[in-house]
Amino acid sequence: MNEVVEPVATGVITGGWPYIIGAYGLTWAGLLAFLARAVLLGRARPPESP
Amino acid sequence: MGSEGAAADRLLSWDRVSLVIGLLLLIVGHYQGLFVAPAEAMMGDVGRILYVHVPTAWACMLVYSACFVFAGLALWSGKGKWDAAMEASAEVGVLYNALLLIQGSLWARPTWGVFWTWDPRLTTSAIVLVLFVGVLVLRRVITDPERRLNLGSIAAVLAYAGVPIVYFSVKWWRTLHQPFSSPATVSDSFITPLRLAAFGMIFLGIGLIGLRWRALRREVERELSAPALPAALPTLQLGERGPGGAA
Repeated sequence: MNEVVEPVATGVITGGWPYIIGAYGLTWAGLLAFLARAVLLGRARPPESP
Repeated sequence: MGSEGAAADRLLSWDRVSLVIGLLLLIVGHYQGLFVAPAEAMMGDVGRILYVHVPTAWACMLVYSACFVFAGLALWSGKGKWDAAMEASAEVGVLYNALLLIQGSLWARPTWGVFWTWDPRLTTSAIVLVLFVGVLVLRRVITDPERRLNLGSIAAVLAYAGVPIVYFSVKWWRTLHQPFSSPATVSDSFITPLRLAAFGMIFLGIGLIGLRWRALRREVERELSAPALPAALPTLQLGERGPGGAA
């Protein structure tokens, strides 16, 4: 719990676009997947009451 | 459907408007953050994860706060519509919280050198995610709607206690995570994409809650209005004769 991780960067970080694309891509994928699920579940009819 | 139900339906139709506004703001905010805003002085382009991570964090806290309010209303009124709103906001909160941790990990690797560390901010965020997943699981396993409303709402109120701890964790403990972010703590050129993305995530969150609320409300109110089965139903054994003499 008390492990200290020091930043590895000692200057300006270059590159990093795979991480940027991953962060934005996974966010949009998650949001759109949840939206699609919400729309599909909203359209589904509930089972008839006994 | 009564006038109260019609009024609630009109209110819920705002979920679609909110969804569209949220998606548009998020597209413009992310475009500006990725291609218009300058790179951060020390982090370079990796600093652009700011425009997806910080808005998700702000929106996540607001969604959990809404969940807390809905849980209180459900407990106070016992009405199914607030119970459904609580579940809908807990679902969206869990989504935002999970995205927050993924984005944070992808930002941590190039800047801290690790995907994960047991830092107070990261740890408390993960604990809150587990707590709200627990709320949703609890609601799935309880079949009695009234019991589910009460226990689910109490669990949500207890889980929400973790949210202020997440917020203040960067102040209370020694942490690798940066302190509170606000427009006052970032450069002027970062503010517009940050605000656009933040309002985008908030409007999108309202829309997603509304969409799920609409579906869950039907289910919960149907269950709560269903006549309860008598505690002890008269049972007939095979071969036993009933009162009318029929087997």
